Amino acid sequence: MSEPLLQVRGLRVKFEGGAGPVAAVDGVDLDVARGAAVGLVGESGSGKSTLVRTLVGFERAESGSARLAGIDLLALRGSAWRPVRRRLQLVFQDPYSSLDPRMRVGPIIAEPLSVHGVSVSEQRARVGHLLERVRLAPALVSRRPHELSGGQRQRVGLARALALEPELLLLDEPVSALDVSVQAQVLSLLRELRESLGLSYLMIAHDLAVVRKLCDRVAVMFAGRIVEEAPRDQLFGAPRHPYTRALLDAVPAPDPAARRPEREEHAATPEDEAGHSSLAGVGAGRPAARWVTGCAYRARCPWAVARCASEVPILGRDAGTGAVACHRPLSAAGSA
Amino acid sequence: MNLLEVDDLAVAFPTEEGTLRAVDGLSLTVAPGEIVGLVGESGCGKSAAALALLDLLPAPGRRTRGRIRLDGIDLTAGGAKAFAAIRGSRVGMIFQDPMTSLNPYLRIGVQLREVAERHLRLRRRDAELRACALLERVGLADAEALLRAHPHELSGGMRQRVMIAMALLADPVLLLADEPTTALDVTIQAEILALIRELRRERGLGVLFISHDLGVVAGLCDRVVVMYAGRAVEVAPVAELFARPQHPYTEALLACVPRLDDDPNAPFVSIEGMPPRLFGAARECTFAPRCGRRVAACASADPELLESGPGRLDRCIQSEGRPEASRGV
Amino acid sequence: MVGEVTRGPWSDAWSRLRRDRAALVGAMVLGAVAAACFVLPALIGLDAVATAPGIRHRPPDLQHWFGTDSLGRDLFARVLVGGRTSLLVGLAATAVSVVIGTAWGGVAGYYAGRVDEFMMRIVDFLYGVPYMFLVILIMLLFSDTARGDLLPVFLALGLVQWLTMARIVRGEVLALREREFVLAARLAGAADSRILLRHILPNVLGPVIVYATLTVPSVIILESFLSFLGLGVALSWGELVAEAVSVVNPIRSYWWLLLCPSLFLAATLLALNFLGDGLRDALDPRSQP
Repeated sequence: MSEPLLQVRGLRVKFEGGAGPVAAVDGVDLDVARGAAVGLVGESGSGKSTLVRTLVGFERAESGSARLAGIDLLALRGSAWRPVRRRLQLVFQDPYSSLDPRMRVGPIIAEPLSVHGVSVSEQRARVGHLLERVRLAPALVSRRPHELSGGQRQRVGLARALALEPELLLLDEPVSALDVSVQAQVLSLLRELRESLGLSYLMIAHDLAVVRKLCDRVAVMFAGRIVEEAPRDQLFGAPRHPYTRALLDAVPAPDPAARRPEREEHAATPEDEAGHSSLAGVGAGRPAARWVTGCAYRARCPWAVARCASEVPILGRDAGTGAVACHRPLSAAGSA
Repeated sequence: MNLLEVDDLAVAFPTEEGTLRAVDGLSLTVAPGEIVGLVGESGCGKSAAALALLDLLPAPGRRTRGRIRLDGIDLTAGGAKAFAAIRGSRVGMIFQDPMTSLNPYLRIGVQLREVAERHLRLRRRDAELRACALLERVGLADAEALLRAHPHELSGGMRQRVMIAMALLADPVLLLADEPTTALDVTIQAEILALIRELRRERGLGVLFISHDLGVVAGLCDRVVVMYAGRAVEVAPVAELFARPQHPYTEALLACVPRLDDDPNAPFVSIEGMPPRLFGAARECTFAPRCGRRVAACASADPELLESGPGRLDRCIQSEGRPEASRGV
Repeated sequence: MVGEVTRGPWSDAWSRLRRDRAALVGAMVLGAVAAACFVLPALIGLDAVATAPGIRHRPPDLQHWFGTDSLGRDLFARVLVGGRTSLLVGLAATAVSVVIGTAWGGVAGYYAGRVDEFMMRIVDFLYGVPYMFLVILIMLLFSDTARGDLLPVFLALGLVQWLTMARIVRGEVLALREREFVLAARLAGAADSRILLRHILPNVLGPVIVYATLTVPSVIILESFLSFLGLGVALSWGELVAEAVSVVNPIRSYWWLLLCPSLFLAATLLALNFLGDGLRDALDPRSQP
C-alpha cells in the first residue's frame, strides 16, 4: 500500500482559554491518500478549522505529527514553508474577506506566482489559463472583488490556490457562504479539477449532503477528536458512532414526506448528571481537563455506560475499511 | 380571521444608481397556529420584508406601499406608534444572530426582565419568575443561574433559546423568525425547530419563518411562500410545493439542493445568471432570463400572482389554470 | 446589510464624504485659507516685514484691512504670512508623526506577541513623559539654530505626536493580520515585508488619513503655544497672538491684534476637525450611508 499523501498522527493543539488551556485538537489521526477527497465534518468548536489551520502553519501544534509526502509540516518555520506552499494550499470559506478588496483579480491570482519569482509575462499567461480553468471570463482580470458575485469571488480564490499547482488542497467550507443555486458552480468545478489535475482534497463542510457528493471518505470530528472515519457509502449508510447517527438524523431533508412526527421525547440531548442541557460547553472551549477522562460525547449519548466515563475510546479500525472511536459502536441495525 | 395579513408590501432603498425595489409587491397571510415559511436566496428581499413588517427598516430604506394587518389591527394606518405597540408584545421576534440582538454588557436576567416589565407591567420579582419559567420552557436548565450570566458565556444554541424565551415573554400571537437557525449546528438546529413546533402546538402561535434553507422549511412549515426579486413567485402548502412545484424558479431551486438520498455521483445543479435588481417596475417576468422554460410571451409582461390550484398561487404564465396556459403559449 | 450597494471602498467613501456638509465646508475653508496664505501676499504685494513707526497701532481701515501692530506693520500681511508657517508646520510635523507612528505601530501589530509588547511598552513609557517638557527640551537643544529654521520645530512636534498614531495603527494591523486575504498572502509564500507593504499598508490608509487630518490641528495649536511661550522660531499665528497679548493694557484696546490671528487660527482648526470627522465617517465601513 502506498504512503498516504497526508498523514496526521496524534495531533494536539492547545489554546489558552479563559479558564485554562483548551485542547482544540485533542489527538487526531487522519490520512488523505493521493487522489482522494476526504470530508471533515463536525459542529462548531469541534476543532476542524484549527486542524486545518495547523496543517498550513497558522497555528502551533503542541504534540503529534503531520507529514505531507514525508515532509514534517509541524517542524517548518518561516522561510522553510516556501517550497511546501507549492504542494499544499488552502481555500477559504468567506469569499468576501479572502480577497484583498484593494487589489484587482489578476494580481490576486498572480500573487503566489509573483512571490515565487515567476516572470511577469509568464504570470499573465498562467493567470489567463487559471481563469479559464475555473470558468471565469478573461475580462475579469481587471475587476476588483466588490464587482464580482460571491460565486465568482470563490472561484477567484480557487484559482489563486491552484496557481502553484499544489498536490493537496485544503478547503474550509468552500461553499457555505454561497446561495444554494450558486454552490454548484464551485462544487462541480472542484469535482472536475480533482480529476483533471489529480488533486487530493481535505474538505471541511457542515453540509453533509455536499460532502456526500464530493468526497470518497468522511471523517467526523467531535470535541477535538476523530470519532469516526469511513468510506462515504459506509458512513452514510451504516454509521457506527452515535454522534454520526445523530448528525445524519438531524439533517433536514427538502422533503415534507420525510418529516418525523412531532414527538415529545426528542432523544438528541439527554441531560447530563448536572441537569444541564449539555449543548453548551461541549466543544465550546471547556477546559481540557474535562475531556481527559472518558469519551467527550458521553453526555449526549443515549447509549453511554460507565466505561464511557472512565476510558477514552481509541480510534480503532473496524471490520470494514472504516475506523470508529466508541466503546459501543452502533451495529448495522442502528443500535448499540 | 388571519393573524397576519400583508398586502402588496413594497420597500425601496435609494442608491447611487436609482431607487432599488428591495420588495416589490409582497402579499402573504399567516393564520393562527400556522407556520408559514418565507423562502428565498440572498437579495430576494425577505430580510427587508421582515424588517418592514416590524417597522424596523434602517434609513434610508422605507416602505413605499402596502398594508400590514395584525389580528385585525391595521398597523400601516396606525403608523410608528402602532408598530411600537405590537413589537415585542403581540409579535415576538427572533433574528439570526443572537449575539447582536442581545446586549453583550447586560446579564440575561436584566434583559429579560426589562421586556417583561415594559410590556406586561410586571413588578421586578414577578418579571423574574416569568423569565425563569420561560427559560425552562425553552429547554434551558438551571434558569436561575442563567439569569445572572452574560450572553457570551452561553453557546449559540443556548443564546437562541434565550431569544425565543424573550420573544415569548409578553405572550405574543405571532412569532417572526428571520433565519433563526442558520448560524447553528445541524443538531442544535433540529432542536430549535422542534421547540418551535411544540410552542405552536401549545400556544396556537402563528409563525412566519424566514429562511434560505429548503430542508428546514420542508420539515417545519405548513405553507410556503417562495420569494424572488422582491415578490412571491409561488405560494403553496408545503407538501404540494415540494412534490409538484409550479414555478420554474421553485423547481430549479429544489433541483439545486443536494440531498442525502440522491445519487452521489449525479452532477451538481445550479441556476445560471443572477437575480435582477429592480429599479423600476418589472416589464417582463423577473425570472425569465434564467428560466429553462422561457417562451416568447415571458418577455412581454410581468405576470401576476394568480391561483393555480386549491390554496396555490404562482407567477408563471405556463402553469395550470392560467388562461395563457390554455392557449398553449 | 439590507439594500446595500457597494462600489468599492474608495468610491463609496468618496460619495459618503461628498454628502457630509460640514466636511465640505471645512474643506472649502481650508482651501481658502491655504490659498490666501500662500498665494495672496505675492499676488497683491503685501509686506509683512516693513516697519512704519508713523502708523503704529492703527485699527482696521481701507489701507490696512487688519490694522497695524506695534511697529506699524500691516497685520493682514502678517496674518497671511504667519499662516504659512502654521500650516506648514502642521503638515510637516504630521507627516513626521505619520511616518514614524505607522511604521512603529505596523511592525508591532503585525508581529504581535513579544515584539508588540516590547514596542508598545516603549510607547506607553513615552506617553508618560509630559510632552510639553519634551518639546521644550528639544527646542532648547536647537535654540542656537538660525531663526526661521523650522526643522527642529516639526521634528519636535512630530516626535511627540507619533505615539497615538502608533497605537491606532497597531490596533488596526492586529485586526488586519487575521483577515483571510492576509492569510492567503502567507499561504502564497509572501514574505512579511511584502505583506506589510502590499496588503496591510493600503488597508490601514483609511484610519491613518483620518487621524492625520485630526493631528494637524493639534500640532498647529502646539506650535502656537510654543510661540506664545517665546520658543517660536518664525512668524506664525501663535507669535501674533503672543504679540497681541504683550500689548494688552487697561487704557487702550488693540482688539484687532488679538482677534484677527485668532479668528484665522480658530477657523482653520474647526475646518480641519470637520474634515477629519467627515473622513472618519466616510472611511469607516461600518457607518451607515
